[in-house]
This record gives sequence, C-alpha cells and structure tokens, in this order.
Amino acid sequence: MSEVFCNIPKIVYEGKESTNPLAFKYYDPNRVILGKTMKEHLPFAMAWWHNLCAAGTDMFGRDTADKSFGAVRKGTMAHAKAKVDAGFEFMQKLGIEYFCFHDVDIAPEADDIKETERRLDEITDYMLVKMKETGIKCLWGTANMFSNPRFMNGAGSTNDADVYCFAAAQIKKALELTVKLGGK
Amino acid sequence: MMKMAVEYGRSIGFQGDFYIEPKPKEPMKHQYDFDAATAIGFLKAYGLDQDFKMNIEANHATLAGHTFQHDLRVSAINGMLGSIDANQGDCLLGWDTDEFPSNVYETTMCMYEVLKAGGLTGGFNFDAKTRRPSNTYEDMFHAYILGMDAFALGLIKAAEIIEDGRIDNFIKERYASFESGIGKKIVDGNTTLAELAAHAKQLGTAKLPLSGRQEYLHSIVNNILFKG
Repeated sequence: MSEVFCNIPKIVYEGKESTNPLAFKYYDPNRVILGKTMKEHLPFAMAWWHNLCAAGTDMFGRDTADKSFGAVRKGTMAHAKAKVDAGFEFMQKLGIEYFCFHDVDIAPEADDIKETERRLDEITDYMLVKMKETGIKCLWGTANMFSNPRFMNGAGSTNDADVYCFAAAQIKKALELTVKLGGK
Repeated sequence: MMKMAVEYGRSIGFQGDFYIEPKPKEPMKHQYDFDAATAIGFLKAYGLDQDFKMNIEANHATLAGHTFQHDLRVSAINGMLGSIDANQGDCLLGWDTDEFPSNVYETTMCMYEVLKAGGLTGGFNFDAKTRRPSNTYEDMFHAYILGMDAFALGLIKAAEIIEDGRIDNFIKERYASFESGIGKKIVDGNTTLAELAAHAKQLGTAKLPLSGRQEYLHSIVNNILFKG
C-alpha cells in the first residue's frame, strides 16, 4: 500500500510561536493539565463520513474535492478499502486514536441488504487488521437510516412496517460491527 | 426499536453506552430529540436512561436555540454526558453547517463543563467538514489541526478558570443562603410549604438577593483567555 498523503509529514507540537501550518500550536499530547495528559483529557476521533466520504457537494453544486484516494472507480469495494488506507494514515499522522462511523460510510450499499452486510463484514475484517497494526480504536459506530430513499418517511417513525424492519436490520448489524471493532 | 436495540446489544456483549444525539430539526421541522432536556425526558419516560447517554453536538445545541455549554450542563447534571460531536455552526445561517471548531470561547466553556463533569465516557468526534472551497488533502489536515488546537486551548483555559477560582467562589457565595438555616432545610427536603410561608411572613419584607455580577464574571473570563 502506498502513501496517500505524500506531502504531509507527521503533525507534531511546535508551540504557539510556530507559523508552520502543518504543526500543532497548542495541542501537546503529553502536557499534563490537572493531573492528566492532554491526550487523556481529549480522546479525539475522526468522523469517517465527513473526512473520507464528503467531497463538497451541496444543493448548489457538485463535488469539489477528490476523495477517491487513488481508487479507479468510486463507490466500489476497492474505493472503500482505499478509504480505510487513507483514514488510518490520516489518523496516524495526526496522532488521533479513535474513529466513528456509520455503516454506509465504510462500504457501498448494495440493492440487496444481504450483499450489503457481506461487504460490511469484508471491510471490517480489513479495518480490524489496520487497527491491530496501528493501535487505533473505534469510538462508536451507528446506522445511517436517513440517506436511503426507503427512509423518506422515517426509520423508527416510518409509516411502513417493512421499512421499519430494514431499519431494525441495520441497527442489528451496526451493533454487531461495533462489537466486532470494540466500540466503546 | 430502542428497547430492542438495547436488548440485542447486551445479548452480544456490548457493554458501552448507547448514545442519542439531540437535534431540533433537519431533516424534519419537528423532531422528538429536540435538545438534551427533551431527549433525557424521552429516555426516562421509556425506561431507557440506564443504557443511554447524550452525545452532544455543538451545532445541534445552537440550532435548538441553546448554547453548546447549556446542553452539556443539562446532560451532566442528569448524569448523562456521554460523548461530544466537536464542531460549530454559524448563527447567521441557521442550519447544520458542521464547521470545524475554531471559537476558543466556546471550546473553553465546553471544557469547563467536561472537567467539572469528570470527563466523558466517549470522546471528541470531529463531526465537521471542510468548507466547499477547501478542497485539497492539505485542507483536511489544516481542519483537524484547527479543531484539535481549539480544544487544547479550551482545555488549557478551562483549567486556568478552575485554578483561578474566582468564578467558582462566586457561585458558592451566590447560593450560600442554602447552606444553613431555612435554606439548608429546603435543600435537604426537610420543610413544608407552610413553614416556608411562615418564614416569609416573619420577615415581612424580603431584601434583594446578591448581585448577579454578570459583567464582572465576563471580565474574569476575558482576563484569563487573553492573559497569554
């Protein structure tokens, strides 16, 4: 696997006089404040969705950022794995020890929920390998029950019992994935 | 659904907290989880308050017409401050802009609440995105450096406010009348409406309570924030 953020070094604390845009001016992980280190006071987490998925689209315009991270086609499992590689490199370079995710952030949804779950199993196997390599942990996981059109009338508050069951299936799977990844 | 989720989660070995992230609107005009107070009331009404805690997002608190600090405090005094979605909104826009946190006044007040609550069971998740024109890999790093430095500054300054002691001393003095006499009986639940009414009638006329000293308190915060 090649480096994704080639021109970005490991971000270190340089102090408030530093003008280096790629350095911390105040976050000094080992500085002790009121008996605990800054790192202990501030367990930071990367949000998978915004950082690795959101590319700038809003109601006025299309993507402005390239979040393919080297994948040839977006929305594929290869792209999902490229996001894992990019995410772990990103967190390592910043010294961030946790991540948070929705199910749909980490693998593309398929038409059939059984295939979606297979993809989630595959990608979380890969994430577990990276977690063991780096020591980075899962803070929490959740289910996205708003983006898919089936949730247009809600998930737990939907008018449609079948849709309610799809929401239940996603919650069940998200709990299983969170336990698998050791979420707090 | 939430009860079934708890039941299933516990059955497969999930020992952590379930989190609710209050939000007053978006996508709907009205939402059941409007703010921390509403969400905590909902959880208590349905017997879910032992398994759930709040995940407070700064931008959702401000959308609900509260400060970030207010929703953190409401969660903490109910023993339900779990985790934080670290971001900020834009009060001139009024939607969930999910900006990276840069406002050190806000992060200081946040960290004051977190320190007073004894920390989080979760963490500080940057539910924030770079602005649309900030579209390079470098911008992703600048954004996280901004957010992490803003919370580091907030932590440093909140600790200084606590060590300085002037604000905490003011709060203690403000409520001193509840530490003895009739005030202590009220706090301990050892009195009746009739006894309190008799106390008021014995006094005849009440003197004004102590000054609120709002401007003095703001000046202390500025003093600590900008002394270097």
